[in-house]
Amino acid sequence: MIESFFPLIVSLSAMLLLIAIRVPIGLSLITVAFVGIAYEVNLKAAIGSLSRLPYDLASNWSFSAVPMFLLMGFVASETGLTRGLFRASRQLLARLPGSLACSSVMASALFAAASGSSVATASAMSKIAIPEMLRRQYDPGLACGSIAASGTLGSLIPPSILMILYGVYSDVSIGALFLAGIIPGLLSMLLYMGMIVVRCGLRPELAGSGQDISGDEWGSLRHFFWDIAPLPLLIAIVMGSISFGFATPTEAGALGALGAVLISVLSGTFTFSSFYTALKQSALSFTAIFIIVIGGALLTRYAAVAGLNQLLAGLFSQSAAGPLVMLASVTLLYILLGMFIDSIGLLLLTAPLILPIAVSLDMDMIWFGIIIIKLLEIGLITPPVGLNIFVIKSTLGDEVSLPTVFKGVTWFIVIDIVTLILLIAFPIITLWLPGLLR
Amino acid sequence: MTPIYQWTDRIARGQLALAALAICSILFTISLDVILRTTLRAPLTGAMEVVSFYCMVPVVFLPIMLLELRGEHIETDLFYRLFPLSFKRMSIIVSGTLSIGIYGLLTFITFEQALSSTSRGEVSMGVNLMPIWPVRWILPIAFSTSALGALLLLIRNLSQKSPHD
Repeated sequence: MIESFFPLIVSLSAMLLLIAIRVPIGLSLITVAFVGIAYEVNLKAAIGSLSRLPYDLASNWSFSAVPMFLLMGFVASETGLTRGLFRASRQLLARLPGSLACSSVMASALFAAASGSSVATASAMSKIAIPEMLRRQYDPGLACGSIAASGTLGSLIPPSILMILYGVYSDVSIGALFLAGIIPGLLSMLLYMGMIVVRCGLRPELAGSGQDISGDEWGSLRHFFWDIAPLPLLIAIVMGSISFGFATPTEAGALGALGAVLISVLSGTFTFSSFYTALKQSALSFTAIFIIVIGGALLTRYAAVAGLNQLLAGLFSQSAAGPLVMLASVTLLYILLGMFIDSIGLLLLTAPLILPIAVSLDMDMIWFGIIIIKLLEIGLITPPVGLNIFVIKSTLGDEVSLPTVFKGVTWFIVIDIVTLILLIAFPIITLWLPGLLR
Repeated sequence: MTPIYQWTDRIARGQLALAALAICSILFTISLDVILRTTLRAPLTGAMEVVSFYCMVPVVFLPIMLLELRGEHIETDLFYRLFPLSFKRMSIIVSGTLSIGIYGLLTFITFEQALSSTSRGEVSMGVNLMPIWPVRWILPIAFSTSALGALLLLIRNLSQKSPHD
């Protein structure tokens, strides 16, 4: 039994080795899957797969949603539509203990509604919120931890690039996934804020001097409205058009991006150079993701011809506790691999292996998708890599040490685990909203 | 910067500009289609084919050269950081050689496909029979320039006294 899967074990180890020596993830997947197919079938089959996949995938309509949602996020941040979120959140939450940290979490959640990427959310918010918190003598760990963790809301609160990719791979409605992510995203946000309030209530020194906002910084109601208004509008465009069924996810993304352009024109912040920058950033980010998509698709073929799917499905379906054992294994796998592989890479690397098992165990694929995305997001803040941590570190330079950031994020990881347990124990949290529209 | 790097940088930026234009076209084509469909009940015929073939293919493949030249792929460097210098050099050589090999192979097979597609005048299978053979040529062009980008990155990284972290 083991001998027959020996080549498979060698190839998966080779793939992890290539990734570990810093070969780009997409190219590592392509190399191993190509050699694997050539070994299992023949060279002609491997060349055949490699020749068809890139073009077929690129001209797949479903993937066109990704550049549109990337564009919406980049337009919103490049034209300054998201600049006022932190200011507005501060006004709203000024009376809470640790109000600046709570405001950072809320502003990140709002930013997440324009951006489909966790790293982009953490990057944007770290430039605005962390310097302000440090200036007010907040505990550096709390300041950085709150941004690193709430940045992960970028993938949980729709739109989400991870959800689009998961949806395409698992053949699940992307609109339903977007709806399913809303309550888990808000739950994560509220639990983060609850933890900050309790900790800062018990230890006020964590929130610096305690005087978060002086009187002159209170803006007028009109400013508050303009700071926050673009986001509910974008949310309404994207989620409204998908929920009421008159737009596909790609169309909702295009309408969202067009909405961001029009709002920035109306608010006077639009410039052609910022729009061009947003277009270029979207193209570059999409291509970087797409090379991994090609590698992941090739790996799916390899897993099929090598019989990996049957092997894994057999392992988990033998016991009655199959689904739970599977969830526990996936959790362990994602937390381990998430320590050194970024979330998109990890999703595309593991989807070909994990999704067929989930299907064979009759799991609800929407619920399973949200669990996977939450797990991938925890990977973004766990040591030793934690991509969000490094994004924040690169923004702040030597101002805060890496161990301080990791220490600060520990409390948020605990909250994430609580959220994950709630999501697993009560699938209704995830499935209620998409269920309304079925 | 030597002339070869200047020229390749220009080509890569030109390719990125075309990809940016393609994203802009997706934005306006789809938006116009939705607006016309919901207001006048007159959808833009062929919007899906235009986006899928004429826009998505350039968006996906043309920026690869710049990613290669700048070393901006999604990768992980947890272990790389801990490597001694000789290991770092070995990683650079393995990574660069693999990239050049894969892009070279892709150039060859997509070139053959483009030739065959052109000779039979390939058209899309959607509502309209749009010619899509010209789009096929984007792939060998993008993969060959990416191979060149990967080669130049390899040479630059190896010529540095201490490889970049």
